[in-house]
Amino acid sequence: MIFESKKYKGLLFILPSLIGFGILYVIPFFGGIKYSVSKSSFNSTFVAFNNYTDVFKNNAFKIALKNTCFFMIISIPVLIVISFVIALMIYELKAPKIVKLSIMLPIAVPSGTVVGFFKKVFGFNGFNLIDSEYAMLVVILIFIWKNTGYNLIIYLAGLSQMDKEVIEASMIDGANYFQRLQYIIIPLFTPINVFVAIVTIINSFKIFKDIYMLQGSYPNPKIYMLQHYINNKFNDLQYEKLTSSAYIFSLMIFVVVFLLFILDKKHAKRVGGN
Amino acid sequence: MKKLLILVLIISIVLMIGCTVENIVSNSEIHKHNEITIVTYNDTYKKYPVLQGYIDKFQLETGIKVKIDAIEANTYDDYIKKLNTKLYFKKGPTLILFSESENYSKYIDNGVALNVKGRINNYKKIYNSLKYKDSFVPIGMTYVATILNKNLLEELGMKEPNFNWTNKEYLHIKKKWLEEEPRYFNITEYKDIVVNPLNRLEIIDKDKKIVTLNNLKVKNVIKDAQKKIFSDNYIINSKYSYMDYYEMFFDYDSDKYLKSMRKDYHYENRNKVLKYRFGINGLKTLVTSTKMKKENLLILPRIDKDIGLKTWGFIVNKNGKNVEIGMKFLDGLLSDEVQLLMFNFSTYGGYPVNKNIEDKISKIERKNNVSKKAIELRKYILKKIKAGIYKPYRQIDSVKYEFQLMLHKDLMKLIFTDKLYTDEELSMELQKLENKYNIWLNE
Repeated sequence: MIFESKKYKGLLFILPSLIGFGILYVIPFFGGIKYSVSKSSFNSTFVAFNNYTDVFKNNAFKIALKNTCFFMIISIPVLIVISFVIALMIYELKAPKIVKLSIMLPIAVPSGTVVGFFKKVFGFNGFNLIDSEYAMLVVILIFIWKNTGYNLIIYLAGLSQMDKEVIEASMIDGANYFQRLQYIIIPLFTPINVFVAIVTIINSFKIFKDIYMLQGSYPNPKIYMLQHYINNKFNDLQYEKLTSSAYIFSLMIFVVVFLLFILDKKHAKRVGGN
Repeated sequence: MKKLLILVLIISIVLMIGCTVENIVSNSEIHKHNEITIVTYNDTYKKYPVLQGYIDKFQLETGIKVKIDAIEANTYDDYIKKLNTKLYFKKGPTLILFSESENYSKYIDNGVALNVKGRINNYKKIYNSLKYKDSFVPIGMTYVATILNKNLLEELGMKEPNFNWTNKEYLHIKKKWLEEEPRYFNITEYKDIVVNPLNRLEIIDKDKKIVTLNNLKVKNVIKDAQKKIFSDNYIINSKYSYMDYYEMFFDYDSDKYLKSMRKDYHYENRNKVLKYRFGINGLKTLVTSTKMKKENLLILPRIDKDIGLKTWGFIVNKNGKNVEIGMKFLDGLLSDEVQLLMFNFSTYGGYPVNKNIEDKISKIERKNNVSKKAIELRKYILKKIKAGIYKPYRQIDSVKYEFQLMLHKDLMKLIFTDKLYTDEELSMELQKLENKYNIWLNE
């Protein structure tokens, strides 16, 4: 019986999620290609890659792409490192629950409250950074503050599942803490790091909501992100530009995620996993 | 086996539900052959009694249902998002209603609207200046005229300006008025001191897609505005920060705005140059004539010519359902009979856009003993409309007016600053804004 097989059983379990994902994400994703090669949303004349070249030539898109890449390149590694270090400290020092709770709490705080607080501190009456050259710093801070707790949960779960025998063996062999960290813990954490990186990339897109609440559709040019461009194109009914820019960005993300998977695969080969 | 049976059962149920839903949808499609949908922002349509009355009549006479899809939204931006989503559907709403304060050109320029030339019989009766690419169907128009206090002019010993009055004359009257005693600072004063001078500067070049803000002219307007606002001529709240002024002028739900409105209302009956902050429709002679007689007012065309004329009307959605019926509906709204009815409504709804009924309007005016001055004003405005001098610029030039609104909101911070900016600081702030607007313009 096919349903006796574990593989099919698993498939059956994820079927509802796959159907939802297919209908709500995969089909629209491919359906959008039609718009990106049409003259406009209301005129389906085929224009090949004209919209893509227009988007690439657009100065606003270039600024948005530059800011988004800058934000991701800085904030994602910083967040991963910070959450990993905090997780390690909590694990090693057996920190009280209240510490964990205080780090995780920002996940549950509504964006409006977070933005209100940051506006007060870094806005006109505070350090006045939001309108300055350093506005991106505020955005990175919001992102780190909100997402550290999320990554922390994943890392703490990973640490509690770590094979203690390997650590103990290395201690018997005379390895100090930093050697253990460099040669055992970090390599063992590669699959978790890949997962955390992907989750962080996904979460990094959500920062738009905060920036939007902070400064609206046209913020300080230093924090004008791709989502602003895309959102404004939606308001202007320019779906063809919206989809073209979204595909360009998706392609870039695919490349990054693909590289992460290669890294994961290489690691699995090295440690003899699947 | 049991699991397989359960799975088959679930799939069957899902398919059955799916088919039933499809059936319901296709059944409702049949009903929808006799239906048109009008999309509006919240309950904007209620502002137009003519429209409401005509919908009832149309439904009764044709048996076609007119469905009002009033999109509820907290902000206008939210409404635009919801509306845009609806326009994306193949059998979307038939007609989109645009009030006098909404911009429709974006929808027409992006190909949403159907070209109605030759498809609506009464369309040719509309004044040409009110048309936009033969895709907007105006139904009513409003010309917001300026109302001057005649009593005050007499007191100040000033000559009454005529219809061709200039900004210089207006400022001269204002100067005399301010010399009398300090006056409450409000949005009208802000417009005179900041908004209008800034609008007259050529800051935005739409063709070259450049905004130049960081220059001496803009700096001078800011400095001059600060000097005037904080002079002894105005009564201002010394505790107010720029955020308070921002709320007072732009946040219509705020306490500060309401307080300012109340103060303005109580102050209305005292000596003010401009009576009624929001002006009056200079074309509606039945109203203007009564006001002129009863309240001793002088009603004049606006000095800022490009924002006086506004229209309300519809665009026909290219992807809409039953567009032919939608156009038939609009044809009726443009008929002499319905248009004339609009003139008779003293309140909302605007003035007819149908140029063929001018004689009939004159007859009504004679019958109602409308003052000569009110008729002269109406004819003056219509002459300018026919000549193409007055147009609903604000509704057809979204870039310029969206820019102006953004600019005025942003500049508040520089004008109502706690500490005065040095020249260098002011340049830096203006440069930041200039960069922001250039992104917006080049998007």
